[in-house]
Amino acid sequence: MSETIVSAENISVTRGDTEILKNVSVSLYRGETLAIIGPNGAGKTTFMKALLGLIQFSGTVSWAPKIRIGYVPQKISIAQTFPLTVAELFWLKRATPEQWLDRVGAAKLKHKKLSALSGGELQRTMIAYALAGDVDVLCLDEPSAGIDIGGGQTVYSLLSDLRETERKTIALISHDIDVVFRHADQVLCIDKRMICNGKPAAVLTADTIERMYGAHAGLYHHHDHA
Amino acid sequence: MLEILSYPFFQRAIIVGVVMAIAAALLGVFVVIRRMSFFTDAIAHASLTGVALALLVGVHPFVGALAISILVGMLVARLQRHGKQETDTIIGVLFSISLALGVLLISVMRGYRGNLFNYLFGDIIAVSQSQVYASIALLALVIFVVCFTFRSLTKIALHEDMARVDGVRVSVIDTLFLILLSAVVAIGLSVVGAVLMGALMILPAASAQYFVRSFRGMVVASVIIGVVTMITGLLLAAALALPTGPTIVLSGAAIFVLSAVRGILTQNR
Repeated sequence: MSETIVSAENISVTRGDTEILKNVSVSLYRGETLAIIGPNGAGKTTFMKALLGLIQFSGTVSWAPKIRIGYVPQKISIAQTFPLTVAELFWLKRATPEQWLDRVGAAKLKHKKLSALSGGELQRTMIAYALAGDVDVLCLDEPSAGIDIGGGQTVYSLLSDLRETERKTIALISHDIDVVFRHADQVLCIDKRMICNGKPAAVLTADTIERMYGAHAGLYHHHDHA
Repeated sequence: MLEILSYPFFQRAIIVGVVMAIAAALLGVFVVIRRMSFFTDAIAHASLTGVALALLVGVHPFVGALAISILVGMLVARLQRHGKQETDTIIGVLFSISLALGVLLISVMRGYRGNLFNYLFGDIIAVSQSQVYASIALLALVIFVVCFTFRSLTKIALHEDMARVDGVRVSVIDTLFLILLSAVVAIGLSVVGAVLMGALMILPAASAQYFVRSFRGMVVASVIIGVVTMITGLLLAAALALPTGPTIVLSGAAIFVLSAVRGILTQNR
């Protein structure tokens, strides 16, 4: 078995009297893509933030030593008053912009201001920024499906490249079960507590999908994912 | 009008004014991009209570202003994190309390009532030689800290959580920034006063964002605008015998309006 990058055990998060997450555990290995799925308000973002040490939680999270992490949060809003350019963004990490922008097909954005980018442009720029500095792990909170990142590529085909050619370890939050079947080695289904964890084909059964999304949800999943 | 330049008190005023304008503009850039303008106004107003308390217990007003500004800044940050109120409500409440308390305390103190206007709107004649040294030392500190934490400050402004994942110690940098902000407010009180100190920080950066093409350009432009504002304001105040604080702030406001108009015109072109 390959090296464990991070292992989380019995993560629980409460806010006030409300239990947001209860006893969720997962282990992520080098080169693997983990998809975290669940309905709205299931605690997916909360779980990722706990993994990253951004919020208080009970349980344990242990990262392998000297792991470098790149993180792209769900919503990044750039104030109109903040004239940071894409080139300056990479300067913050002492990185060469072209080297990373090329990877996401966004080299032409180098001289633009972040506040002038479209949603899709900002997302690919942020993925490139997260990659900069040769990170080992990429944590993505809902990289929207279907955003064209140039040359007909989507965010997800970029992720496959990173997984297959560079053996990057990826944790991503997704809504799209189809994406999970195509791109993930491991899936973690949560709805405030753990519903299932394992290889998508093995654990994403009609039953677990119904437990997360309700009885009608199974209908959406009839793609050929061979 | 040039005659006034030969008076030592005015020379001191120019030095402290320019030095504080640079410090305020440098910090102001981060205040504006982090949408902390209202917060900055609150700690500037709180400094008045600090001055009043310092006069009551007999310590230097600078010490009181610095301490209360830091305290209010930390209180806002804490309530923001743990409280159930919206940030602007918290700031609005503290802002009013500290200003009212400051005005009340100074008003009831025998012999200080006459100085109230000066604390509120600045009193350039009162600038002492020790304030000149203090302001220069503070500017050196501000430049040092901003240079060494520039990348981190910018990363925090971009996205706090991303900065944390990237290894930035957000709470340490934030506390350092708050202390510098409070120190600039405390020394700046004598130049523009508690009510207008926030404006001195915000106006240069707010003006610069209309025409700069990069963030580093915004930093440079803000400092230049801050210095031009200060010198114009002080000279106008001296020449026309106007109160310094309002004259400086209105000079800054004039530059802001011109920048905004230019920004709108170039956008529509």
